[in-house]
Amino acid sequence: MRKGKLGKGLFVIIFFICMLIYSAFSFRQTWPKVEEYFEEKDGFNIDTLKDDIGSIEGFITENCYARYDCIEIYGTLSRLIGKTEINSFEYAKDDYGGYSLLNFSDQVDNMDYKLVAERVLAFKNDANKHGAKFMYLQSPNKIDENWNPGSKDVPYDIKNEKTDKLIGWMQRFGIDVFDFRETLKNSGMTYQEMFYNTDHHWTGVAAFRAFQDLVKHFKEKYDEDLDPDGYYTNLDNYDVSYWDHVYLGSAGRNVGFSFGDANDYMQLVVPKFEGKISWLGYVGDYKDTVLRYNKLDSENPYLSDSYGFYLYGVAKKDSITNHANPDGLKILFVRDSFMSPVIIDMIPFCSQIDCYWGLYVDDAELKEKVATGNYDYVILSYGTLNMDQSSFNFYTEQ
Amino acid sequence: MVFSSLIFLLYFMPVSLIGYFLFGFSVKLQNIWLFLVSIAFYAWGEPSFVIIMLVSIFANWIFGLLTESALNKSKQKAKIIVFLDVIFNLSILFVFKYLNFFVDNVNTVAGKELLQRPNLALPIGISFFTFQALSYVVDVYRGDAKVQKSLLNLGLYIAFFPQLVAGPIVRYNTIEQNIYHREFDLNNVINGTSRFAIGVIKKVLLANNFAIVADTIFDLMKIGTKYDTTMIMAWTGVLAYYFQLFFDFSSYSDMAIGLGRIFGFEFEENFNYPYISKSIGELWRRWHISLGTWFKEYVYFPLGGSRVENQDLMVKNTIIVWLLTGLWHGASWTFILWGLYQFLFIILERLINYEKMNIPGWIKILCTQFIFLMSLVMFRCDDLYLLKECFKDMFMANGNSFCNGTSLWVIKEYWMFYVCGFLVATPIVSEAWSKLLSNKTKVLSFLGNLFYCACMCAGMTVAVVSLVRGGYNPFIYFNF
Repeated sequence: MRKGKLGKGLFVIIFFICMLIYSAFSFRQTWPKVEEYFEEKDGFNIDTLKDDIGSIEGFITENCYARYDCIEIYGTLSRLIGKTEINSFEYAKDDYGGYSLLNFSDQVDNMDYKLVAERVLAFKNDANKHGAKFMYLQSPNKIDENWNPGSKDVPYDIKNEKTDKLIGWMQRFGIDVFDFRETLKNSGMTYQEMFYNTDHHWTGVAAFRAFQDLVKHFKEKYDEDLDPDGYYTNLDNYDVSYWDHVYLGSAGRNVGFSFGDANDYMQLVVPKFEGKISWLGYVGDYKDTVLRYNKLDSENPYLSDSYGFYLYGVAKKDSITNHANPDGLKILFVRDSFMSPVIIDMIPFCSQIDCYWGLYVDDAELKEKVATGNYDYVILSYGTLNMDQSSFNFYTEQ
Repeated sequence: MVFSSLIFLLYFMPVSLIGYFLFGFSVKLQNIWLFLVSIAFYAWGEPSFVIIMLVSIFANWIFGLLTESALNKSKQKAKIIVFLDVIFNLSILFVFKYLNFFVDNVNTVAGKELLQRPNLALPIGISFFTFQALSYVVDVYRGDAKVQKSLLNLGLYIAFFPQLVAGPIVRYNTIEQNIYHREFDLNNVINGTSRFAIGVIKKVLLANNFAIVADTIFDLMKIGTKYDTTMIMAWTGVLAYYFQLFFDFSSYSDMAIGLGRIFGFEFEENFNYPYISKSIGELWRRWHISLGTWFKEYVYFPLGGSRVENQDLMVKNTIIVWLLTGLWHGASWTFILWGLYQFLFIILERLINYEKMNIPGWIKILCTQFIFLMSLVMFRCDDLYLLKECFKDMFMANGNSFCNGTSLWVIKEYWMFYVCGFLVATPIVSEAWSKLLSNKTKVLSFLGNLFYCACMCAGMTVAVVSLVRGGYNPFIYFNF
């Protein structure tokens, strides 16, 4: 027997058999997607060849046979070799088994706080000039010494210190700041109740607590009694549903269930009362419009997007009209994805809510909107994760 | 297209192999098939660059024919044709690879935008296929190779997909016979496939993981003094790059050699355990062997090599070769510096006859690897600023700490890859395999074979699982 010929021969047979079978099974799943793509595109076009190649590669990766099983195997192997980091240091498992975002350079402070606060002040002044009140809402971070300090020495993306500094400057400039980190701190909720394990977002119930506090703030600060009988701020008037093991957040989708200790659950907060809403061309009740049931797939946790259930997560811009309350408030939100469930909770008090994703908002368009929107309130809101100067690229010339 | 990608493994490779073996009754048809799939392979990455490669093939084919025809009449005329071919090939290389760099430097010296930056994208593998094409015409002129009358066959030599985008740089006469005569050989398929699989495993499981650590830490060093990249963190990153570069490139060579062998082509080895070298000179005889051979054959020897009367000339020839080697790797001052650094140590070793000095082998290995490791910092850094920051971080000259918890956490996450990297980069694993497989006891040898098969299957499964999951999959030598 020549050196190793048997072992190599055996391997080569297995290699080719497995490769051909796996290729055939994957092809069966991929080809319909490719066909669909070219049908939508009205056939092949040489000018878009490079884009087509990129799309086909995407279909091939996404539609490989048993893809989700492969992710679970990957998660298991990573766990077996003792890894806690996921996806090129994008996330890491914390002591609770949840996955949190990482940022090695979190300690690097490149932010000019005064400058950013001046931009927010200019934004506020412009809103005030056009008759709108202005407030800044601060969403929380999964890692926070008050509920989950994270594992020692792991470079989490926290930015709580930066947030505190910026808030300090904004308050010095007389900007109304409402900090939902305080809400969660005083909520009595556990960390697991506040945040999804496999995602960086807060749960629907945690967001509802923030909404309750926000309504109180409207009353205390602006004498705006939005919910005099306390109906809309009562969680009993909402269906709160949980499903275990049917949801993976954005971090979890990279490593599956098998990597962490913590299972994740899908938690939905759905109003029991009816709504007359239009949003993105959808018209009807909450369930027909701003609550996107098509983002939920209890059959496949990898395809289920519990957070996308609320307003698809976040869009560059969108507008919600509440036909049930034409005399309600008109609010402009410049925000990130954290605000989506809170915005939905605010709908009963508003006639219209316009939203811009702060990271992508165009300065001129925003100013135009503030000037012509006839808003009662303009609200700027970010989670600590977006506490970078690039999130405040508006009113830059002030 | 990358060998370690799903499109290649699941579709391109099976289709190209099935087509190739279906045409097994005719080498000519097999060559046509291989040429066509090679063009498709190249076009998948950047369709428009296929034109450049086809122009290069056609032009060098014409230059080859003209050279041969001129050789029959006048050597001088043939020399002029070869000279024109060199100009043609280097012009392509200059325009696509060096023009941006040239314009940037002219503008810097002028202190204003004297020339407009063309911002041309670098066609993948241009350095490799240009060098192959160039060597063919020179070989025809020298009489080392017969002229290739068939455009298709020359096209196959230049565009053959296993070695097209990242080498090894194959000389025409190495595979000339393979182009005409190939017979199905099961041993070639078995050995080639195993070699290819080893390359995939090395690339996906080792190189890609080292890339994560290296890229993360080099990005941190780029931040400068604002981030406390500890000395331990800096060395962890540099060491990760040291392994990444080796595994990235040697795995590609493994895959290329393996694929070539499946199709019946014998490529020469490109790596021979460079990380056990006892001198820089030896390291360059073990690292990217085909590039070293190319420069020796087509630059160093024509300049006179070492056999010149005047030692100054030898030094001059060596410095030219290393400047060009540096530039071949990329249009940047850090690459030029890197080339000069290699030259410095090679000359120094020759001057003091280092290789024959009576120093314990392990000390020589450590010294050589340390010197090479330092050179890789230049190789990795995009500019002189980052280079300065890296060296400062590595030697605690940046006001940075020696170590912190985060550095240890990174090591804790990836230590197993360093251990595997060390074992695979040295002959330890291959020696162990050899012993296991060639055991004289039949039972043990049988078990060894089964174990080999099991390990390869497991390695390949994990590699495919990683690819299906998606993730970091860069290829350093695509930039060259």
